[in-house]
Amino acid sequence: MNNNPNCFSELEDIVPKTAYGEAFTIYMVAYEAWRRGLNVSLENVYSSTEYRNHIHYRVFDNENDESFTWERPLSMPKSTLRIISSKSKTRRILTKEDVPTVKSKVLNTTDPDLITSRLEGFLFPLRISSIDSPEHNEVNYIVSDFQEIKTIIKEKKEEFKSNKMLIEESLSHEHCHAYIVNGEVVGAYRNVPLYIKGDGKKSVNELLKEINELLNKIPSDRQFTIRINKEIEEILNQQNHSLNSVLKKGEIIFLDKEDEKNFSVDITDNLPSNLKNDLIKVISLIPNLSQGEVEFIYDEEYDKYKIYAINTQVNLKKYLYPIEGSARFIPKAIIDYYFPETQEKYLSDDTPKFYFDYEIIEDEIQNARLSKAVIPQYPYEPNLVAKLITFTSSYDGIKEIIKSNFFKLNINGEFNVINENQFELILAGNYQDVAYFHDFLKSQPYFENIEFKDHHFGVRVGYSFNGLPIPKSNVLNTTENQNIEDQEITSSLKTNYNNNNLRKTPKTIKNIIEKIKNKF
Amino acid sequence: MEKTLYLDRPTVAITGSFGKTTAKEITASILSVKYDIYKSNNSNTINAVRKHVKRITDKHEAIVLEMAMNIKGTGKTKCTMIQPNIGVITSVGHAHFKHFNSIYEIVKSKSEMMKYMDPKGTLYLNFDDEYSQFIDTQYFTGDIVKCGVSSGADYRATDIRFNNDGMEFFVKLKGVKERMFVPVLGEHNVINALFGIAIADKFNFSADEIRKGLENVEVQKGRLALEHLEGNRKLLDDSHNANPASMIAGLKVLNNYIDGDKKIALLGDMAELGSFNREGHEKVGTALKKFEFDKVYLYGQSSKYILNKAVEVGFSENKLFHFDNIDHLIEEIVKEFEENTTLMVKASHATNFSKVVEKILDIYKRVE
Repeated sequence: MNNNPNCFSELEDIVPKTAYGEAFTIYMVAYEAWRRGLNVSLENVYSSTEYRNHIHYRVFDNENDESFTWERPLSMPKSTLRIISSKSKTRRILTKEDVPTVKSKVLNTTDPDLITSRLEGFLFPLRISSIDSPEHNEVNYIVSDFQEIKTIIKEKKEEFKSNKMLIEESLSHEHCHAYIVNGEVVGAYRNVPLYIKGDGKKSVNELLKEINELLNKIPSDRQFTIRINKEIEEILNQQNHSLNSVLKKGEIIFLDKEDEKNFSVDITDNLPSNLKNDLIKVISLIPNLSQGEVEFIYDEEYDKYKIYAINTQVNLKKYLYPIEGSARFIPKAIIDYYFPETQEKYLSDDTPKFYFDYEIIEDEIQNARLSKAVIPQYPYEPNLVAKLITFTSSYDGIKEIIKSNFFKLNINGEFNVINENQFELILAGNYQDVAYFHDFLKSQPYFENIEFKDHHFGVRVGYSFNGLPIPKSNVLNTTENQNIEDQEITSSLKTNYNNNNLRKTPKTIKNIIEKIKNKF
Repeated sequence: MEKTLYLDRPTVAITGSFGKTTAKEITASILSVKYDIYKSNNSNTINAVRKHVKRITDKHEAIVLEMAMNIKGTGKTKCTMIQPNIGVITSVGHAHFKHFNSIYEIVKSKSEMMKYMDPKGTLYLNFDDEYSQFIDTQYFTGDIVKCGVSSGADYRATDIRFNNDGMEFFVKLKGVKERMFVPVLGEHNVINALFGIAIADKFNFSADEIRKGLENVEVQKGRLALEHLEGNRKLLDDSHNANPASMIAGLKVLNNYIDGDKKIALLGDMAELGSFNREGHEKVGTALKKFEFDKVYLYGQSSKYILNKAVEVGFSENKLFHFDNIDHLIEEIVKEFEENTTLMVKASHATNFSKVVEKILDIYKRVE
C-alpha cells in the first residue's frame, strides 16, 4: 500500500491539534499564505442564514487582499454562492449546457407507488435526504432498490423533519472529487471505503495496526483510526477472513463500518483529459466562479460521468492525505491564484518549521471573547536556528527566569516539563540569541545536566509554558498529575470532525463493497 | 516580505554612524579593479536596498552596499533582503541619536550587521573608534578584522601624511609594508580606506591592484571635498552631513592638513541628535580649543552651544561669530573669503549650507 502521510514532509508536525478537526481546511490555506510572508488575520462572523458563527480569515500583502471562509473567497458573489449551495440549481444550469448530471427529484409524498412512478429511469443506488429541516440537519440514507425506499420511508419517517425528500442518484462511497482553480484541475480523488491490502506476509491484525499507525500521523481526530473490535471481526467474517488471516499480496479487504470513515485515493493523473476539460467547464459555467470542488460519479470502465454537485465546503485532508497516489496541496494552488506574486516564495524554506497556534481561535474567537486575531508575521530573518535544550533543576522560579529571556531576546519556543525536575526548552531565533540563552542557562547555579542539540520539529510562534514546574511545597501526587495530562488530551480531542452523517443499510454496504472490489 | 538574497560572491555591506559612503566608494573602487561590481548609490533606505536587490544580476561579481542602520531594526530588515558575507561597521557615534536613548542602543543597532550577516562571513571593525569597542562580538561565529591607526589593529595605517590633496600612509599586506595613497582627506578616511584594503586583501588583490583602486576613488560632493579656487582660495566642502565626531574630524583636517594664510571654519547645526543635542554641540565647542583658526562662524540655534562652550574652555571670543540669518551669513563669509584663505563648511544637510557653497563657487572659479 502506498501510504502518503509523509508526502508533504514540510507540513509534518506543524498542524496544531486544535486545527485537526473542522478547522483543518481553514488552517491549511491560512498557513500556506502565512509561510509565504503574507499577513493573516481571523475573525468570527455570524451567519444569519446558517444560524451559526463562521471563521473568516483575511490574507493580504501590499498588492492583494482577499478574505476567505473555508477555502472559498468571500469575494465570490452571493448569487454564485446561492447557485452552488443548491444542488438542483447547479444541476439545472449544467443540464442546460448538456453537462451530464445525476438525476434527482424532490418528493413530498410518502405514497410508495407514487414514489416508484416518479423515480422511473433513476439508477440505483439512490440517496434519500430530508430537506428544509429547520436545524439543517440532513438525514441521509442510501438505498439499493424500491423496496428499501419503501422500508426507509415507513420505518424512519419520524427522523425526517419535513415531508420533503430529495432523492438523487448517488454512489456516495465512491464519489469522485476534483478541485479546480483558475481553469486547472489541481487535485482529484475518489472516496474508497476503509480497506487493507495484503502483502502475503502480515496478518490482518498486523496490517490494521500498521495502517492505524499511519492514520495517526495524519493531522486528524484520533477517532479516525480503525478500531479492532467485534464489528471489524464481523466484517472480516463476512469476507471469509479473521484477524489472524494472512492476505495474499495485493488482496484487498474492505472494512466498511457504520461510522462511515473512508479513504481517498488520488486520481488526478488518471482522469482522462476530456473529463478534466469537462470538469473545468463545469466551474466555468457557473457565473463568477473561478475555483471550487466538483463532486461527480465516474465509471472508469465506460468513461462515463455525472456531475453530482459543486461543493461549498471542502475537506482538504482528502487531497492532502490520500491512501494511494500523490498528495495534492490544494492550498498552494489557491494562494498562487490570489497572490501570484508569492508563487514559490516559501519563507519556511530557510527557517525552522514555524507554525501558528489555533488555540486562540478555538478558545477565544469562536466563543466570541475576542472578535479578531491577527497572526504575527512569519518569523523570517537570516540566521534563524531551532535548538532543543534539556536540563534538570529543582528551582521554583524557573518560569520567571526563562520567560524573561524569551521576552528579552524575542525568541519563539516552548518550555516543557518532562518530569518533576527535568525540563526541555525549544528555542527558535537568531543563532546568537539562542547561544546567549544557552550560555545564560549554563551560567546559572539552578540548572544542571544541560544538553543542547538541533531541533527539527515544528516550533509554534510566540513562547509558551506547557506544564509548569510545580513548587515543591505544592507538589501534586502522580495520579493528580496524570489527571491534568488526561484533561489536556481530552480537550484536544473535542474537535471531532465528522461532516458525514450518512447511514446505510447492510445490503447497500454489501453492494457497494462488491462494486468497488471489482474496480481493483 | 521578500525572501533573502544569499549570494556566493563577495557581498559587502557597510554601516556606521559616519564614513559609510566614503568606505563604500573606496571599497567599490578597489574591488572594481578586478570585479564587475554592483555599487549602491548614496540612497540606503529600506526601499532603496529593496531596489538594489532587484538590480543585482548574475553578471555582478561583487556587491558593495551602503546600509544605514540608524533606526532600530533597519539593519535586520536590510540584511534580511540581502545577506552580506562581508560586513563593515565604520564607526559608532551620536549621529541620528534622536532615534535612540543611549549610545549603547546605537551600538546595538549597528551590531545588527553582525547578527544578521553571514555567520561564516567576515566583519570589519574600527579599532580606534571609542564606541566600536562596545560591540559585543562573542556570539559572532565568523572572522573579525580590526582596522585602525593604533598598534594592535589587524590592518594598521602608519606614517600618515597629507600629500597632494589626499592621504598617504603605509599598511602591511602579507607581511610587506606597502605605501598607499587615497585622494580623500583626514585620518578617519585613512581608516575607511583600510576597510577597502583589508577586504581586497581577503580576496587576494595585489598591492598594485589596491593602489590602482585607491587612485580612482572619487571624492563625493559635500564630503570633505577640497576645491582649489582662484586667488589661492581653498574650499573644504563637508556640507553634506554632520555629527559631533565627523565635525571634529573635519576641523582636524582643516587644522592639520590644509595650508593657508587664513583658516575659517563655518559650522552649522547638527540635526537628529535628540537628547544629545546640547552635549554633542558642546563637544565640538570643547574641541575648538585644540585648533588654531582665524575665525569660526556659527549658524543656527544649536550652534550657540558650540559658541558658549568654546568661550567657556578658552577659545578666543573675538574669533567666534554667530548668525541666525543665512543671507547675512553668506554676505559675511564672501567678504571674509579673501585670497590665500581656506574655508571649511560643515553642518547637517538640513542646515542647507549647500547654499553657501554654491555662492562661493559662483563667485570664484576653480583652478586645476
